[in-house]
Amino acid sequence: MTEPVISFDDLSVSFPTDDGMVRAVRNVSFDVEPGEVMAVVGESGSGKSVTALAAMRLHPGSTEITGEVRFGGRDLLGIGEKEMRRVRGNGIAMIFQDPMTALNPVMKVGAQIAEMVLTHDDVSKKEAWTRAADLLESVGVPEPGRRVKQYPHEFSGGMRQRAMIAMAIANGPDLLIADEPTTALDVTIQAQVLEVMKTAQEATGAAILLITHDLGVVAGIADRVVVMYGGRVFESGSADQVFYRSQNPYTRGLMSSIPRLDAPKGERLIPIPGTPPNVLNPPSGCAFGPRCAFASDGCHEAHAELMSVGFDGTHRSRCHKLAELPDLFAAAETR
Amino acid sequence: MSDTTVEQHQLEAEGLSIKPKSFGRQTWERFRRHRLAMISFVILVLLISSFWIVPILSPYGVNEYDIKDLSQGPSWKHPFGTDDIGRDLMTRTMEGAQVSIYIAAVVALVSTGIGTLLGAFAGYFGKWVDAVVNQMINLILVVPAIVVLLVMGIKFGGSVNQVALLVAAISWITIARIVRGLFFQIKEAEFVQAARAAGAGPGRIIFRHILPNAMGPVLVQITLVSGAAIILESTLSFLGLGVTPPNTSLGKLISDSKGFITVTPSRVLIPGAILTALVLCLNFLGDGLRDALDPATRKTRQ
Amino acid sequence: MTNDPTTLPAHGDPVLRVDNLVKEFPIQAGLFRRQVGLVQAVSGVSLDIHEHETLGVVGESGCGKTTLGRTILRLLEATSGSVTYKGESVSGAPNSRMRELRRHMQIVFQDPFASLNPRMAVRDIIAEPLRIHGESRAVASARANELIDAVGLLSDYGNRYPHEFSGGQRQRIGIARALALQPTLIILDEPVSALDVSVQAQVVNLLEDLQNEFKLSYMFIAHDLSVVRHISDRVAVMYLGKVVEVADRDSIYDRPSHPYTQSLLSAVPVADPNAERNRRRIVLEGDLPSPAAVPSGCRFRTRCPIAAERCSYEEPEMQTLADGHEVACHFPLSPGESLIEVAAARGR
Repeated sequence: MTEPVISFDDLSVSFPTDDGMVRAVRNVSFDVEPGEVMAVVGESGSGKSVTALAAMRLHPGSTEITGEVRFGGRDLLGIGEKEMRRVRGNGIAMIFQDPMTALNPVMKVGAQIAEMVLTHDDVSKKEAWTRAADLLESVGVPEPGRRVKQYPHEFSGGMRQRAMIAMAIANGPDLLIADEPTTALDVTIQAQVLEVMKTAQEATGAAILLITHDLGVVAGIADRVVVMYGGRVFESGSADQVFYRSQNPYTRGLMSSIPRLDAPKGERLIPIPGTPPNVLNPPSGCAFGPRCAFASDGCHEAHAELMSVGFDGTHRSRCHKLAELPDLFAAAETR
Repeated sequence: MSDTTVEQHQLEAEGLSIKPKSFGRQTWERFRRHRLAMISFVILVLLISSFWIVPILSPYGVNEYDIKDLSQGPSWKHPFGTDDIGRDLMTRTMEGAQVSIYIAAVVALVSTGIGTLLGAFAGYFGKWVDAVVNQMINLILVVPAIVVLLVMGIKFGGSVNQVALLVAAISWITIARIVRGLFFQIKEAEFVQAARAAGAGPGRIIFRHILPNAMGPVLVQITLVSGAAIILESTLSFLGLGVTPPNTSLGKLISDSKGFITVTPSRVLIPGAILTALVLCLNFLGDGLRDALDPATRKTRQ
Repeated sequence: MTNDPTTLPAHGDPVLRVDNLVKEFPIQAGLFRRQVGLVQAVSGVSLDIHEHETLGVVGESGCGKTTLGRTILRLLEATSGSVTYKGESVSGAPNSRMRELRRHMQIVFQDPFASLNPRMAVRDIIAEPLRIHGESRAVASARANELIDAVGLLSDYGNRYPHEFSGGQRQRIGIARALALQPTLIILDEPVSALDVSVQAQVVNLLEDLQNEFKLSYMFIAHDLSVVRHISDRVAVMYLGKVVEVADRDSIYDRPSHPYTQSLLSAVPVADPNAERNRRRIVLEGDLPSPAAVPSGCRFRTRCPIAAERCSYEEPEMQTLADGHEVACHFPLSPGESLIEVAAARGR
């Protein structure tokens, strides 16, 4: 087995707010292998974005972090800011949800990409601009020679997201972190951007850590999936394991609550009752306990550990009732 | 799901806290955490109440003079000293400060009233109403305020109320501009659209929906306007166009003592310090209110 | 609550008829806000909604679907065209009559964080429409309590303020407010798209239950095609201010006739890895043109894989096909025909 590109080891992130301490991420551990697409799925307050930001060390100063984020043989949480700047862009690049706020509105798009090239590569300014145009072309922006001289507001939403991807791959990073990259886009544009991300990944060989709430996007692009809820990993495994053989009540509930495009007429949705946990006032015991159909008293007392299911150790799930789940699911199905 | 008693686990499932918090209560909790604003608030309360309590306790009348003690520095007998005709300055300063506070309050009240109303109409109705209000604001903006006050002061100055109204006539524009901007913004909010969709008329929309949501920034502005009014009044009085004897104010006290700055510097310094403290506290109070009311920090969920 | 999601066939006179509705916005520029042009956000939309029917309206951002909803309710004044509610003109109603008409037509907004007045307690928010229409405080409050219960919230919540609630709970409050006046038609403007996935289904089910209970007609505006298919009886697809195709729910999803409908459907991600691996996605070229500069002829032709010359100068009329689809296209796809294959056959 090869060395993972990045591994999160017992990562916990807390930050103070006016209303109290928020423990956004709790003891999260997972690896991303070279060249794979790892999706972190979760709803609001699940801690998925905070996990990604911690890897980039883009969290505010008052944040408390424990655990390790290992990348390129060292712990990113332990290195100096100067060294971290070299990692950003060069080793890990980020694609944000809203390209309008992530791009500088008063700088030409070409200049922003060229700047990215220049901070990590010793080339002439002219060459950097040529590279910028090439990069734009590689992500499918038409007329790149003209487009480099334009400002972000002259780009449409989809084109801006392409420009963001061009910037992200400018220095051939080993890992691309994409935080809800298609959420702000329309479906037809979303399809284009996902296509571009796949192509870019194939061209550069980078691994992708995709943060999203959209299970459809995950199904289309991810090799492996981590499902987060209430700051913890609830299930992780290959896309097939999580989508077809899920061993977690939350994941199952999520799957059955989304309407399917190919669902038969008149089929009723099966929602998860309740609301995702209040980050300031999380439930005691299992975070999903209060909404879980299978929960019993024990579930409200302590949280469960993440355990291996199956034999090869690739599929893990967090549930007190792991052993009984197959029967519980079967019983729920026949009801 | 019609139980009236709410169980803990039900609230947990719905992600709610147990105790309902109103908007005002939440704001107060935030404000309390703003240390500087809290200190300012306490100092302000102490200062202002002393302005009214000290003269009552003082053995001296405001205009009672004592020929034996002329132009004295601070002493046990006269903690703030005496002026050139032997009046007790502590009593006079407190009385003067009362006048300054009174003027600030009248200015705050009047300019908030006018500014809110005009700003609300301009922002809600737009078009010609907005154009008219805007022209009024621009007119006041382009003419230097102090010159207007000087000229008007010569004609109308004198009584405390007249001075207050003069200052208010200029101060309302800052409130009006803020309210107008907020109305432009809030009238497009979906909850306002929802009220329109339910058939609500302009009166209900303005006073029940938009105004309460605009009051936060207005409250902040009121503290700043009050501070500015105290300074403006002092400036006028210093230039001899504010309140006239036998009335006095902080500005008037400073003005009266300007010839004695070498003899008894405390005569200038004490009212000056009180003036500065009042205005500073009001500004810090405004800062605290702004932070407490800022909707950006209000989100409880990420 | 009824658990019967049966759909009634469209029959009789429509509850709502929209005829050739146009809404233009001025484009202003410069110091004096001079009008330099016009954007047609809605350009000639005609639709019917029948009793107890859900009409889904789908389209991408900028297609005018939200403007359409608001223009129907006269939250925006139409530039031309007409809206009739049960045979009565809404567009021409004087203010006093309009207030009455609003009892029958309500709206639920997309953003549950912006659509509730943060300074009002939940019970007052829900009671407000009743107060506006002259009910006493006591009657309005009692009715609000019933509604809080009807949308599945605990009655204890009436005293709380909106900021305490999550998106799904707020959306329930917004729905309760819309129900307060016992309307016959509710325009649902992206009511679930801002919600967490696990909560969306709750709200969709609630909307279905309420529809059956109160015999409501819905206009369900959304960009999420899966949700629209789930809830709608008929679906209208919009592109750049125009309706390009209208048909029954299953028919439009199984046999889309308009090239845009077909590409839109093919772009929807499905939460099923195997289906995703095997599907052929039509990736449309380019972006949505600006509504301020719509293409001549057919508005979709700049992105259409099978556009022909005729499309550039002649605007397609709405036509009814043999299978009942109404479609505005010169070259509608026949049932079973795939856009990719047609495009390939034409050598594109």
